[in-house]
Amino acid sequence: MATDKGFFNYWVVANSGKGFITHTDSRKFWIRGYPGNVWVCDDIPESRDWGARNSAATKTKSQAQTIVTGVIDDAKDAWDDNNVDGESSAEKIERLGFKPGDITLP
Amino acid sequence: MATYKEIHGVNVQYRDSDATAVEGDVWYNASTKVLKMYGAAGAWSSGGNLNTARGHGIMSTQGTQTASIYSGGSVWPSGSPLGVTESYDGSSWTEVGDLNSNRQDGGGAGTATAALHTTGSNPGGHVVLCESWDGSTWTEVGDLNAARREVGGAGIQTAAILIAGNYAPQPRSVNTEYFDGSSWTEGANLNAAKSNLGAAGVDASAIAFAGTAGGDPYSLATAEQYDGSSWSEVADLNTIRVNIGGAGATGTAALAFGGANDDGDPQALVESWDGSSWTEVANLSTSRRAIHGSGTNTSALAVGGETPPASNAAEEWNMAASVETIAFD
Repeated sequence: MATDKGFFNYWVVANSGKGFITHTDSRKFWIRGYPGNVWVCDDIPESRDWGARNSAATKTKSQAQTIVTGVIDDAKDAWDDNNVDGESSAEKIERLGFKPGDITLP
Repeated sequence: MATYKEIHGVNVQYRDSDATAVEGDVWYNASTKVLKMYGAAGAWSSGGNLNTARGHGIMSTQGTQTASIYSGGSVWPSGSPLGVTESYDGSSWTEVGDLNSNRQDGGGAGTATAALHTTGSNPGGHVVLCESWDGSTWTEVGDLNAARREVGGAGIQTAAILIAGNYAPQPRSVNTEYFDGSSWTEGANLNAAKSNLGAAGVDASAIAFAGTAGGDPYSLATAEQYDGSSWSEVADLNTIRVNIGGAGATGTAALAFGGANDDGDPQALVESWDGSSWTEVANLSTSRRAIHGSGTNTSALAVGGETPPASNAAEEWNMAASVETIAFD
């Protein structure tokens, strides 16, 4: 498969639950999910079969990164907008967890 | 470099087929011309999705991969506690009876049909409440002695442990309470105060791991093991984490997964505890913090959490011996 993606495939598909990733899939290839329903897999035939089986939309790395960054930016805004009067920054972190950080896809 | 023969005393066998093997066997399959091994390798697969994506709930920690409940929690970043309870049958989640008191960051114990949901917080603050689940309804039972949240939970419905907890401005606690089916009693405490920890096991054998003491570094790798009478410090995890998930039948066989690193970034890392050391095993497919679990270190369920935003994902862990092909780059 001609690709500008290096050693990975980039997909967008919602996790459909049971059967979405099987134990056999996990043993055959590396796969990792990211915000925005973005999935990154080793670029091998088995992972392409996984993408086809789940009707995943193929993306370039740049397109996938844009989706992830958009979700994280929204999460950062949600974190910034969630405030309690008189709350210190440390207390806010205790309440909400740390502000979401940037994610760089492999 | 030592050879296979120098280590094992024999050469790698040539076989025409993959004969029945014992764990650790390595052989060359002359028919398919590949090197094979028989070993235990763990892997995660997708489970059914929660109906309500959320973290900070509690699991029936002694439930199984095919029968567990997940109750309470909150949807990031609202921080508003929920009472929703969902039951898992091995393939899908079904909404069942709500908690009487909406809560997040409590402690869990028990099974899918006999569980406890203890402490946590609601908009009024930290609570001492404990509710008991009979498979269809939650009923309030004996309160704890100290209100707190971000705790660790272990044990069964009639013999449970609630471990440490609390968050700023209240100090982290070493306080541990034990439930006999009707009332909570203060007992042996942790050696070091922490919150947002993982826990696994039962009242006679448990382990509490990772979390935070609120200092710098924020996240911890420390672990303590309970032998039924006292807590002892044991080997640290390989990676510091907070808001970590856990599963395990005893304090000598547990699984630690997910959580956040010192910057709060969700992690996919998984470590297996054998009673003496932590070993990194296959990662979750999605990095999540505020994740929860049930089951054992060989058959576990990891549920919910935050990527952020909130996740509805469940993943199933299985560690089984099988014939594997050894690949060379």
